[in-house]
Amino acid sequence: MSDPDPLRRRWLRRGAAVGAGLGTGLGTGLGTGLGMGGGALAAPQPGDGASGQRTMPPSWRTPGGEFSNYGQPSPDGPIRWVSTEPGAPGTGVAWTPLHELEGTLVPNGLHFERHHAGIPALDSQAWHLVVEGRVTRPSTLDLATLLRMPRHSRQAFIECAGNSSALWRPEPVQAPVGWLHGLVSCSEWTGVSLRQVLDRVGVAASARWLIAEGLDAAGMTVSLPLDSLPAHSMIALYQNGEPLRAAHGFPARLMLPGLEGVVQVKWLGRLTLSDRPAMSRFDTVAYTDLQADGVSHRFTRTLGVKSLITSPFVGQRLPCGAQELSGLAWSGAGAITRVDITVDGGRRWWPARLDGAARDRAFTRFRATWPRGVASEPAVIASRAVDSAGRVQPRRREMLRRRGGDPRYHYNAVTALSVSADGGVAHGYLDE
Amino acid sequence: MADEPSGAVAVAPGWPAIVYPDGTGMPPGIGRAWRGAVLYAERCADCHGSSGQGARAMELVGDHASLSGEWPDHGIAARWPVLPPLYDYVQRAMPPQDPGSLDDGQTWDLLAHLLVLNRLHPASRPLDRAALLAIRLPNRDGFVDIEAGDGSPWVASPVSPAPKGREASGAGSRSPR
Repeated sequence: MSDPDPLRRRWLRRGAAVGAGLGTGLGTGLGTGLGMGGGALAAPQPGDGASGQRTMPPSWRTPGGEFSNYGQPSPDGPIRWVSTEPGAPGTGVAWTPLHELEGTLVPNGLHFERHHAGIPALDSQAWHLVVEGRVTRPSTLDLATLLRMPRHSRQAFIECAGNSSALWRPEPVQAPVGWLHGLVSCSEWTGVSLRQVLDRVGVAASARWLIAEGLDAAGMTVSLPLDSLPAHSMIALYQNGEPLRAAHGFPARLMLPGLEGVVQVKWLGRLTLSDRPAMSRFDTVAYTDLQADGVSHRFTRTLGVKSLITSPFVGQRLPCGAQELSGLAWSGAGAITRVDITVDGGRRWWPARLDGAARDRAFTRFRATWPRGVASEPAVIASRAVDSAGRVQPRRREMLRRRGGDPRYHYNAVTALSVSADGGVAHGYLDE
Repeated sequence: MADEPSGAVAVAPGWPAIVYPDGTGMPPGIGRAWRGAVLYAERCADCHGSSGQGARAMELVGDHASLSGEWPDHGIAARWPVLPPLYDYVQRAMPPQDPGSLDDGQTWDLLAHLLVLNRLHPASRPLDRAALLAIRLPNRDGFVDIEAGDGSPWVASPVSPAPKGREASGAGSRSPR
């Protein structure tokens, strides 16, 4: 008897994706998501009823499957890729398959993950949040207390500072967009205003920094200047309508719209108000931006303006004729006001359609029709976003000049795809 | 309004003090590099290399100069601006297979060994708190704070945060108890 769990079948089939390192796993991703579907029901043929039996679709002839307590994605639905670091249990990333998704909200099971020491198993009954330091009323808030406070919901993206880091390499890596840029996702978060929690404990006048610590085994400690905490920062308790999953910080995490992922502290355990930063590993050694002159920029938490074409994607072969382009844009400093598209390597740009309301620090879906002829010339297509703060997505050449020989974080340059005359889609660099 | 110096701020039961750049919160101890070397070989060398040159995990010994150039050589001397948070990180998170397992004495021993490897401390002398705090890391000034007020490392913005919040709390209109 065949395995009754379609998810499991899919995992077995795609088993090679799990545990693949970034460098080695990418190549095998080509073609993921291609040729999906299949097994379509045969259309009724005229004359089938000659025997006297009316023709019916096969699925009419048997009762369907059972209910379940928690639904499953479609059997051929997208999956993430996982890259782990040997020797460091629970350390690695899971990439969101951006090239297989639509709209602007990422399902919780496909939201990217970056863990530095695995996913802790926390008991919501025993969990509490310590708030101490330069406050008038040091407090421990349990989950019930937080759940009694007013809540609000807000869409916001989270992007790992190390997202797109493969694009620092001198040669373009050939992989679909999700396996290169998939350390970004967008959800609707619901929780308690961080400001309100700080009000409750009473921030002392001398406090300048908020130091947040997670309950994972990573020594996760980040320092945030109080005067630049984003508006609408919250302690999130729900993601896309359901309580946070363990992998996303259950029972509570920080949600600071527009800031890099590492400060969205999962499994939040303690907030300390301080007159100075901790200068933890996550403030200094990692997540700082080395510049060409050897100086590291520190506390560069706000993410740049960025866009990606998600369709078409690397590995596809486009049929002749007009092609629908689609992609995602976001900015850590505001809403997306404009996305321009080029199909000639950046000589001419024209505006894409923004699909849906422009949301502050959340995904915006853009679309454009590329009137590609039957006898197509090779093309280089790319998108370039502008945000409400007036920031324009930079070109790669410009980023490389500024960032020098060993950049690691915060890549947000324009990403390009080359389309050959026969429709093959490959990753390319616009400036070379 | 309480406004006590951070060194005297109470810490909730079950939590360690945060270790600050000036050493506040760092437990006292005396590190012996030779003991640290034994510990390092047992618990660290597999990932960080036998002499800190890096392997599966990041290198711990590298350039003393700034990190310009095409192939900057990262390591403790150039990546950390100050040492006390290194103590905190090692004790909390290392080794990844057994985080939180190093006691205070072992952590001091390991730091002594790492600082000797980095030519920041003589092998012949034990490493105590005063010796650690006296080490001036070569790339200490190689960091510029972008979103932290006026850009100087320890001084945050002069803007006083959250005045609205304190008023709201005082009015007692929120925060059911």
